[in-house]
Amino acid sequence: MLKLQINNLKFSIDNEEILKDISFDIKNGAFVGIIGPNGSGKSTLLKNIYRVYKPSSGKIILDERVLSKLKEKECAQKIAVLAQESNTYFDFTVEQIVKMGRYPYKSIFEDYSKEDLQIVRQTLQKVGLENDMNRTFSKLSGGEKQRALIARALVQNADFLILDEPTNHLDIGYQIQLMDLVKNLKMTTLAAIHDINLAAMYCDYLIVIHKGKIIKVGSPEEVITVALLKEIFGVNAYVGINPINKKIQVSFMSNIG
Amino acid sequence: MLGVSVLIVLLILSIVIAVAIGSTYIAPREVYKAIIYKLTNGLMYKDTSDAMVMAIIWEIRLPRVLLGALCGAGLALCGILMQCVTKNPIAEPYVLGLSSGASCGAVAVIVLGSMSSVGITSITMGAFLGAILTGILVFAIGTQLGRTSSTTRLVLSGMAISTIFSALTNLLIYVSPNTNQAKTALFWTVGSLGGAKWEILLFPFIIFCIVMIITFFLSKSLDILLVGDTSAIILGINVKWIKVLLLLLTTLLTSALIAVTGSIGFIGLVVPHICRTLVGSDHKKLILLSSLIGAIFLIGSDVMARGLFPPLELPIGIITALVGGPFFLYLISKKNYSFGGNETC
Repeated sequence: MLKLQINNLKFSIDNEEILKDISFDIKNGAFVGIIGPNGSGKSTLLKNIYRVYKPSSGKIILDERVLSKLKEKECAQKIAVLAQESNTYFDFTVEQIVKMGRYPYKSIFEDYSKEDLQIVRQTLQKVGLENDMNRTFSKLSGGEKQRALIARALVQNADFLILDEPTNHLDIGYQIQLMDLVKNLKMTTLAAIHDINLAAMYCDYLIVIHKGKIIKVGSPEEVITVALLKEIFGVNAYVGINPINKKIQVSFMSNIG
Repeated sequence: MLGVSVLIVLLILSIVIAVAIGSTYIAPREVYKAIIYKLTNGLMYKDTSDAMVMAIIWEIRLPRVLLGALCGAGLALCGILMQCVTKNPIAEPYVLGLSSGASCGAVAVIVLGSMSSVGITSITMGAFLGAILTGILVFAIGTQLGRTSSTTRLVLSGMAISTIFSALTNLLIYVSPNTNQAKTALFWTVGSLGGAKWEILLFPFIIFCIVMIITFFLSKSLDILLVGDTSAIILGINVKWIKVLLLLLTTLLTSALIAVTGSIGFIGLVVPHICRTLVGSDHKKLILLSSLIGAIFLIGSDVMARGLFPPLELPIGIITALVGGPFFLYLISKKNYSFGGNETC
């Protein structure tokens, strides 16, 4: 069964084509990573899927239904997203932030119920924030914030998760912690990942995007080669296998020796 | 809930006391009896006070105090909504330039109409239309007719259009031969509750109730909108639509208030912040609390405006700024105040 199908997706801003004819499928249960240099269109592609942008043409099909035909709240019941958010001009507690994940299930006349709070508490336990419920969200550390946002994504009860470069500003310890947490959820996941080693370690499949086009799709072993890294990042690299976890490992080399 | 009940009692008390205070002092007991007498259509309490006192209470002071309550509640509510839409802690109801539009509309009616035939109602109407027109212009240019939801462009458009309308107002006053117009323009710049009558209360009151009810039901969405546009889209909110709705509601309510009181500064900025320190960012609580505190705050300010230098009546904007300003500074200097999240750490 296919979770997501993208057919001939194109997207332009001010007549500049950012995404050029993107097509790919994601199977149920797969953990798929998107890699590519800055400005290649990784994040833009994800934003087309989670409806921040509207595709110029092409089709996005989720669970065999056309995404643009779904209501906003219906989409939010099917797709959970972990993204960067810059605004901190608010004073919500961790519990209040996570509770918002139940919004797609509420009509405007309904308030959050006891069951909702129950779900919020259980989920906070899952991400290890059960003792931080009443802390102010904006005063959490970067890693704690991301865990709270994962909890918010989880209470949405969706079965498709999008990660839009969520580990960018985190220390390596938090990056691993976050990715382990996500991997353990065993949800169908599509993630834009900056770090090639991190992508190779967690993803079943990788999609390589360069200048708005998909140039390669496959398992990390198939995709990550010295030639590809040279082509899209313009750097020399050593590609090997980590003897301990048997995953692809990349080591970059300076151009001046 | 307890807090809200206490504040409702406080509001009723301050209404009664504010009606009692004035050039002729009337005992609060008398005020209370007179109001109940009128409200129950004479069923409760006999008409004990003389007609003169009754007229002062019912025809002059009560409409003024109620207008103050309505205006304070409405401006505080609009302040919260504007801060939510723009995600900017310094946003307030006049950020879109509505007050300049209102004074321009009012002055235009006076200058362009012949003085004799222009009544108070048409000046109020002019102010209302001026404010609404400004709102529409700012919306059309600032959001490109709803196509973008960037709020920086919106706020900047508001500033520019506000400047243009201020200049137009000054131009109208400068070229017209009558000096009275300057006074009228001043009325809309500093604000006053002096024009209160029962008739003019109805329209802003209806608009206030509509805005209050709609935003109360939207409070869950408002919370999420404050976190960020991306979060709102992810969680299934139609961000463009809700922003358009909120801008429309604030424009309508602010315009309806400005048209009868002029622009009363600072209250729409200070009261929301006071309430945020009390209940955090939860909009359901914020909306109720701000409306109540805003109402009490403005009633108090008006009592001071009337009572500090009798018989001289000060413009109410002077009081709201002199009381609100220092209080706001105190809030900002408090270490644990964090409307701006991490910035105060």
